Amino acid sequence: MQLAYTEDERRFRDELRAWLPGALAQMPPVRPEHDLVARRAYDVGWQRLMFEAGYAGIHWPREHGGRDATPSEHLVFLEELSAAGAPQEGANYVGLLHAGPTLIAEGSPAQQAEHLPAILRGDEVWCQGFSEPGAGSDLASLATRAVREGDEYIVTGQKIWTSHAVEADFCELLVRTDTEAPKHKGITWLILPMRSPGVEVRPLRTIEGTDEFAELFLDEVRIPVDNRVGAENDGWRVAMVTFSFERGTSFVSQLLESMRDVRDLVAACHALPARGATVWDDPGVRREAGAIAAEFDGLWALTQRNVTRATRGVVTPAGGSSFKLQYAEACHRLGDLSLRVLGNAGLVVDEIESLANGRLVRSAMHAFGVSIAAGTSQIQRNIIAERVLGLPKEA
Amino acid sequence: VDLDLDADQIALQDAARKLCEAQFTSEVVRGFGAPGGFDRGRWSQLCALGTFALALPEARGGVGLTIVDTVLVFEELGRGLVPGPLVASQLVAGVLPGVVDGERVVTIVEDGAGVLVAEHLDVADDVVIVRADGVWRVGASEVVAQPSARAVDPTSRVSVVEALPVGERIIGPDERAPWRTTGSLLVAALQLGVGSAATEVATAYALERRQFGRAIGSFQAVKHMLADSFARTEVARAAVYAAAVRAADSAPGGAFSSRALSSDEARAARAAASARVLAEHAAVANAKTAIQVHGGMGFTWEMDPHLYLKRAWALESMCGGADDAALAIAHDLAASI
Repeated sequence: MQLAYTEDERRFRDELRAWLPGALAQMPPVRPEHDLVARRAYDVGWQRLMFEAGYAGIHWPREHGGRDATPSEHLVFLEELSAAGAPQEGANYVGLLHAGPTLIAEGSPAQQAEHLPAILRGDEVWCQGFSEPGAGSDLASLATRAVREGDEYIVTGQKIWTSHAVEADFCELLVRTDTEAPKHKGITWLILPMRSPGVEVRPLRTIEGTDEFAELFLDEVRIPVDNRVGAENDGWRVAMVTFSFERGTSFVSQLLESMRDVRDLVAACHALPARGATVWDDPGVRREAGAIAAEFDGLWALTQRNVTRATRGVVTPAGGSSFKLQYAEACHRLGDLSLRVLGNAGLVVDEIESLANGRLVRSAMHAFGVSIAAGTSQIQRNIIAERVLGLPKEA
Repeated sequence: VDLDLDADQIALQDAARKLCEAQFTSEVVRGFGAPGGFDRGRWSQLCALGTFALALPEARGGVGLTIVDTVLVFEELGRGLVPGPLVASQLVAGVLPGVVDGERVVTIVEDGAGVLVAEHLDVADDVVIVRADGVWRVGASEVVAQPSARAVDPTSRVSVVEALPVGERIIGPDERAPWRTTGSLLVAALQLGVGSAATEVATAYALERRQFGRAIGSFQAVKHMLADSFARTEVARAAVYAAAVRAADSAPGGAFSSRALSSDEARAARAAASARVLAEHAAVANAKTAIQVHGGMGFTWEMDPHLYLKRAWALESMCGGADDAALAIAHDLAASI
């Protein structure tokens, strides 16, 4: 066991450190929050800069425009971007981390040629049409119907939690093509061009007050059969293939942000008065802050362990689900302490001087994003109990 | 970055586990807590396998490995509920003669802790006293103490100390903090093993015990508790291993340092503190879950789950607890803003 980085990894880190300041100087200072068109421009602008420097999709295979980066190099990459305050994937998330890898694994050469370079360049924004009002944790029960008519599927149904749907060009869409088969066996994976007639997008405001989410209404939308990825009724397997791209790095950027939150909270504790001294003079607050930092330290170590295993080709639910479950708990714990410590400053989301109160309050809300999205904590517990500990399913 | 065991380390842990399973059964472990029950034969066997010599240089009769390997073995000793002064023996392995091979038994006391309770004092030859100005040694016979008839942890005899002589200083004030940090990391390794084993026995019981016509482990109310135990252990294990690697990097061969803390040492101290917080919580919370999952049987003396909780409790007070560790992390956080 060793925590040192290899010579190559250190060189890669130096290269990133040399490049990042100049690249970031070309970006607007703040990411637009409510103007979705401006926000897309910001996100794809950053993607374009990364593309031009050869850093777009570094974890993708070389033959598809990536750099074949190992999970360990990917970790270095995310660490340096976070340290430099670089933008996160934003609108490019689904394309880079989900739709792109799925097309690499299962797409036809024509589909790959059309979409992969465009995703890397930041020319194409993708969204995900998986969940439905009636199909959340039980995703395989999805009911959006696709009926084959000649060279087209006619698709009708409703999708939800579709992040960036307003700005997206394409949607990775799961539809039901066989209503008679068992639920996992009648699903098909389609590429939906978002400008197709019959597609309606309605923004959905989150508890954080932002419009990242949307609902997607599909009314007899015609999608060419050529847009199908994989075989008809094999869409569940195609969708799951993406998870095999998981290499322990999914939450690295978020974890580093959480560690920054802890530093911001400690600074706020020093600035806020309490009982004739500062909040930081309260040993109860210091202990809780220390214990939360310990959780994030441990999660960082677990990330390093998971990345080690992924580099050797081993990815287990033990590592991934344990990480997600404990990370969600730690985020909630940090949120609880933030609101307790901030007092009145926790009543406003606008930043007050240098308190980072807005950032901390929003992280407290975002903790639910961690414990609900991408498999709720309840589902993670089922996965650990059933697939790792070998306990039987609930009857 | 490589935070997974290599083949040698897997073999080492495997050997330690086999030894624990063969030599330290529940019956044997319980026997250690009876008056005169400390089994010096088994203790010597444990020592003879090089348990406390792993991280000592070969020139000093050691195996020449690092604290990483010691931590891996300690995880197994924790899992096996192996009794005896494990942490004290490891901490003075290169300092006091006769400890590594089990000829002399040492125990450890933190002076200034209010009530002073020493484990295994009745069989100890030496007592190591941690004070603000360093670490001191006295002969066990010089310590005035009353053996307790009922220790909380039934696997360890304890004595309430009434008077401690000054003794001779074996570790100076500058080396005291890193020495205690090493001790805390070893405690964390034991706690990791306790938390891990508690999850395993509870999972086995949840698979076997049937109510309402099915295994209780099928109910989400039960399986979610066990999943939490498992996840806590995974994070704690990563933290303990990372802290061990940091400790080995900052002090090769386990040498103590009297210099001002280097950045490596500061990182090692932070990592050890995080490991302690997480492992201590995993040990206590998972042991409690194990008792709860066993239901009424978990409340009996006969079943083992209470041994895990009581060992977890006993370890809490050793070399500073999770609260001290959390405050140390807070100090580190404040220094970095």
